[in-house]
Amino acid sequence: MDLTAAHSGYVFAAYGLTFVVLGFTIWLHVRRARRTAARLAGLEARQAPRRRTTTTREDA
Amino acid sequence: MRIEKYANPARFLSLQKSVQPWLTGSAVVLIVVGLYLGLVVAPPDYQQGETVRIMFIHVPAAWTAMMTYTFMAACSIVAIVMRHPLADMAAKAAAPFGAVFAFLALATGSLWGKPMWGTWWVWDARLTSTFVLFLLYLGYIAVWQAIEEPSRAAAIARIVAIVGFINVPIIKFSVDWWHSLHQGESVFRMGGPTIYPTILWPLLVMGLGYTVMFAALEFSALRTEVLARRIRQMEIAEAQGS
Amino acid sequence: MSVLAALIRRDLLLALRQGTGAGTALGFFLTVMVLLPLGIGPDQALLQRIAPGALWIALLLSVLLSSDRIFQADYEDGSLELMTMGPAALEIVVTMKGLAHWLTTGLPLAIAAPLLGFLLNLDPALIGPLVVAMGLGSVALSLLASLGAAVTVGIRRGGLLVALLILPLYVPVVIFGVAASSGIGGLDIATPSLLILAAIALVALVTVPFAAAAALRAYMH
Repeated sequence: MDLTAAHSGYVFAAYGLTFVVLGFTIWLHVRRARRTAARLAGLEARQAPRRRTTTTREDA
Repeated sequence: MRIEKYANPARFLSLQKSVQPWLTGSAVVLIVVGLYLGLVVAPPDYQQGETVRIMFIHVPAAWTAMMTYTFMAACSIVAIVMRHPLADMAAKAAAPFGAVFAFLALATGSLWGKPMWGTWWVWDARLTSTFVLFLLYLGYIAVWQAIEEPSRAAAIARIVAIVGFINVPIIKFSVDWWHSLHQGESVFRMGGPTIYPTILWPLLVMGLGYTVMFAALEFSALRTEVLARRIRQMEIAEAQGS
Repeated sequence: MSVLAALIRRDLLLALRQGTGAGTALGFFLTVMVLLPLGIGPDQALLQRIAPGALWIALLLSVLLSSDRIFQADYEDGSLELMTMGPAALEIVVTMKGLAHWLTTGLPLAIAAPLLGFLLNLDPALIGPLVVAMGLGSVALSLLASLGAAVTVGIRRGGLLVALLILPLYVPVVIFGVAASSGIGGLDIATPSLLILAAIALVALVTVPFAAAAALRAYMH
């Protein structure tokens, strides 16, 4: 019973699906990681100048 | 305990920064080697032909799906006992990956089952409980989405993770308890593995590769969770301050 | 002891007077029983084969769908918070509420189901095993449903979430419940399955109160 030829399609499908799904998952994760880091950097930049003004007021 | 030291989010971030490249690197290496062993070196099976190669991505996905939920349950217990917010965040970060692995286990299993047994699906013990595991992942993720307040969401999520964990040993032992279509345990047996080395090695390498891949993704996702929490705290402080 | 009795009595009286719990569940159950033969067709042999499984599914769904009332009313009007300050621990309150739900919904259905099995051409020899198995299994079903109710009490539109969370836990109950009552395999299968059903019910009785109480506390803070 020759299974090899007829069924290698399933092997391609399985590996292909795994590759696509894992790749998509990793891509989504990396995208969210980058966006979060960027948003945090933006927030810190916004809040840093305010901190500096409060200290100068305290000095005076 | 050394791990407790890294329960502090700031310390975890510095640990993550140094460890991440190694995790990602070794995951890539392991998977490349595993793919080579599985697709090039391993010969076609006497009975199954080329389709036996699906085992190298099906079994690791199933192992990792179960391991991830175990990890989530363990984190939840740690969260209850030691009250480290990082433990809740670790469980939350792991869930989507666990769901993906469970889905892949089901999908690749289906693609393997069709040529081998002639059927896409059958409601036997192991397949049913793996599908149930997938639903548990979705339920866990839904808890975090449905409840706005993070500490309340964490409290509910912990319960879901711990109570749901009972499903994992059921999957593991189900093939021994019920005679069914799915094959019995071949690797984690008392007498040692019963598979041929040419099939065993790609399987073990891919299994380890998937595990390290999860670890790499988990560390990175946990970092994102920590940063997201910091953003939320800063936004709240901003709203209160001004 | 009087505190436990008072807790159960309160829920039983509420259920009897308001009539919502058992009534809804019974109505749903009857709907399924009447519509199933219509949907499947007049093949009596086929109906007889699926009857035990169908009865279990109808029982399960009826219990699950009527479970949101276990904590909802008390949570919304603040009585639940009052109960946490009372003489009984929240875990005891939860257990009593779960048992009250069983007495008003699970158990009546478990008894009614085999009797209504004639609508599905149920083999009369199976009525006895079904009553026993469903009597045992409905304890687990009610307790697990109360866990789902507690975990979602503060979530709007939590219906889907309850299904996702409780379905995994219902699977073993259904598997062993049907095995104990379908007559297939005789006593060799039925007796161990009944024992496992009893074990599941006991485990649920011991663990659900803690999990459900923890969930309720999370919502009340």
